[in-house]
Amino acid sequence: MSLRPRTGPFPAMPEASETKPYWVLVRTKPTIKVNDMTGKERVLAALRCNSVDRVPWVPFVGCHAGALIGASATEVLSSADTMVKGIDAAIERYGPDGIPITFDLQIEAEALGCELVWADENPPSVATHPLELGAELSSLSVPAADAGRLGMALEATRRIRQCHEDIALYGLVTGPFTLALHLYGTGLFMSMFDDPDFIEDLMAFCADVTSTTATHYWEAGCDVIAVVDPMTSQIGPDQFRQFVTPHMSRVFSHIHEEGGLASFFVCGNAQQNVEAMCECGPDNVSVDENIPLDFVRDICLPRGVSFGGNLQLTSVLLLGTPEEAQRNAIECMEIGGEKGFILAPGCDLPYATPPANLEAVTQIVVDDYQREVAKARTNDATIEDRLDMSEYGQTDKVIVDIITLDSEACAPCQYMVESVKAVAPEFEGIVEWREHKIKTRESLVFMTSLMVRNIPTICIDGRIVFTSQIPPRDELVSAIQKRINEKLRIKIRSRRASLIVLGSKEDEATQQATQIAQTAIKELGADVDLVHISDEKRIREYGFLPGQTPAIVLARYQTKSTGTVPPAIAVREWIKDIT
Amino acid sequence: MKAIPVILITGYLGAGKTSLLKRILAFPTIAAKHPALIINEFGAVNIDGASLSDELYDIYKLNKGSLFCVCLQADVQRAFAEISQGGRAEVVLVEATGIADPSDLSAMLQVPALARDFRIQANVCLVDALNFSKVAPYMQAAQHQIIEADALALNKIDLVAEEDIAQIEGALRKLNTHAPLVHCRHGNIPESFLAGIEHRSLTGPPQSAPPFGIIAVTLDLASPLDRDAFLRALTDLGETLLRAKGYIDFGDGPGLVEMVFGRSSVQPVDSTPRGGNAFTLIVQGIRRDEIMTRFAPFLRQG
Repeated sequence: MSLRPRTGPFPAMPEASETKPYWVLVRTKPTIKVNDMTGKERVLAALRCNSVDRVPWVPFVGCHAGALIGASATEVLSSADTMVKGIDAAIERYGPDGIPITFDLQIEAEALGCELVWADENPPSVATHPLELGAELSSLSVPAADAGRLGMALEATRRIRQCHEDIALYGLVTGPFTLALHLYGTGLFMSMFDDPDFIEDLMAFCADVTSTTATHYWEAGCDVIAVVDPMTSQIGPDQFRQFVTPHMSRVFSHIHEEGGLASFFVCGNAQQNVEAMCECGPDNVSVDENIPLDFVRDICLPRGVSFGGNLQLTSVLLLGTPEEAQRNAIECMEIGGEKGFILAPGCDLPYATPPANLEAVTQIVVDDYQREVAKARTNDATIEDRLDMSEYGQTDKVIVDIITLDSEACAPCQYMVESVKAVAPEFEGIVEWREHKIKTRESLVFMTSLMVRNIPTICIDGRIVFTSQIPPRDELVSAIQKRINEKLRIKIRSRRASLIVLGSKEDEATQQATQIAQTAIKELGADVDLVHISDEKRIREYGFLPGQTPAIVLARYQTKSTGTVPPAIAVREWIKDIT
Repeated sequence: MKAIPVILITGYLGAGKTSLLKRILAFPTIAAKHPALIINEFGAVNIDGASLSDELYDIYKLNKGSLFCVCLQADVQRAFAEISQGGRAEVVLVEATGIADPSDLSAMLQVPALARDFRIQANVCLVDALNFSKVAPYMQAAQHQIIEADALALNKIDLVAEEDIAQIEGALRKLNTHAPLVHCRHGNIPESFLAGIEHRSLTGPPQSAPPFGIIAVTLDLASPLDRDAFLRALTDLGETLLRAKGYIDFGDGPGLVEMVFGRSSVQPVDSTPRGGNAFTLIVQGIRRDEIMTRFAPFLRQG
């Protein structure tokens, strides 16, 4: 059943009974498409450039998993228990279609003898390079499944697999060029000229490590093997094809022979190598924000390669707002299209990424309606205009504003408008209501000025009262009445005096007296009501005979009590004060 | 509050950035400003065996090892924010990692929160005279660092033949026409050189293959080759050929052929290595397809 928004007419709202109010829950849960595709199916279909029910979402949660459970990066990358707990938390919060077991490009290097430096909020860094320190390449051997922390990562894989059958699990392995750099240091670049045969041998060994590690992750239960080789962004396409392509092609062939799917992930400015990356034979190419996503799409899709990316890691996901994260995600999804594209961050999520930002991305990936709202709000970040709302709601009438996407095209918005329309007649003359459709700029400015964040929303005299959920009739009536009463109290409290002019409207003297009184009140800016009484009977009730007009009475008001029943003795004293 | 000046030091790992950093810290005009240092963890932590003292300098270490600027971005921005809030430093020295692209670092300082508090005073690129032509074609960042520099310090000139210095300078000039250039050993640049640098703000990333980009082209050569014809073809490349190296059989057995800035040598070897007659040219200002055309008569067929 698709819950994609459609145009009206929509079914009429059910009638509420007097004794049984109802809630119409519009958005208590995201409208998740339920076309029987699990997240895993969705990811695998997208990787194969097959049709999907919606764009899959794969947040690259590495050390960020630690932040979700109060563990440091070191703890989450060093313990299977902590890793599983962190990934469980990420799955719970972000509802991803796929997720990596971990994001640590130092596991293989450490198993091969590189020393690491650890940090609380980052993956570890390689500090020493065995081949640079004099070790012979021939002395290194491909790490076994239980070498170093690889065993821990594989154990975590098996446990996560058991608990999460419907999510695509990514096993991340370090690509041969990056691994070569870990083992040899940056002397690698010079040796590409001075000793290319050695580099070939080194790359062959590293490709063996990558392939073997891929097999371990596959056998542990991963669905996708992501070969992450960021250092290839340092070299040009000629050197890529000379030194990387033969070995990477072998790695991807190996993964396919095992029955797996392979992603080639490079972060950094690798635009010059995207074509060469496709030539290596992966199923998917994944990039970061350094490469325009449309460029990657246009290279990959014609070659039958799916692609992924490239949410901005720092400026948006780490430092931005949920709205900015949604905007970035929508931009990526609109470029990526509906086939062969996987939405993902550009790289390993920073440890301190606010979960709210990732949750916001999930919201618009799984919920068409929220995506439409976010798209309609896309321009509000550029809106610098803000209305001055400080005096809003001070008129005599109570203003009910309904902020919607468009009640003609959106069911929740229509129901929200109808709920107000249904009660408005009870307050005829006192309440004015209006709909603000945020598809127009004016309404966006209005919404932003009122600091409304959710759609649809009901504001009463500029205050947000009902958000997303359509209120039952009684509650709406009560809220409006409350504001009316509040306004009346304010009016009474704020009214200090009344200047009453008594006399016939046709009488010139009465007219002059009224004019003088008006001018005086205006000049002084006094908070005084000017009241004109022309009815003869009422004039007599004030104690004046026809010949005694125009007459002017000044009546002062003073609030003596609110909210309580005053004692009789207090009331008697008040009266004594004025008699 | 005046914007705090930032001096960026770039250069391939091994070019001598640590020595240059130490030299700059010793300048009286810098030392008096309580400099803050943002350094790569494995860079300037130890100078001459002694750690930089945290009492003398506020030091911010970036613990990402050899990985990327986009991943470092949050750490760099945090370091700058702390420096600004600390209120002590009147100058910041940033020792970029060897593979850093300076345009990424400049972009990081354009975020509104930092653009107000900091300005780049100078982007100094230290060039390893001995190895730069070997590294440049294989490492994009090495060329970007030169292209974007406000000033170039050609280091290790004592290790390079006198006649090669002019050619190395010529190669650098093709990449960067405006930056003043100074020769040095062990990163010893004069204080007046630093003081005279004017920062030029570049927008956007540099082209990955500028017209005078340095590229490496590997030829799969036939065997045997006509020695005179081949060496003539190399010589005809003139100044576009920076270096060349590979194994060639001229009919009298395999030999290691090397060319450095126009000087060639042929050294007999016992056997051709596994790579066969692979010969790599490092050239500048000439396209790959033109090289392939010129050397077509020498390529292995089939």
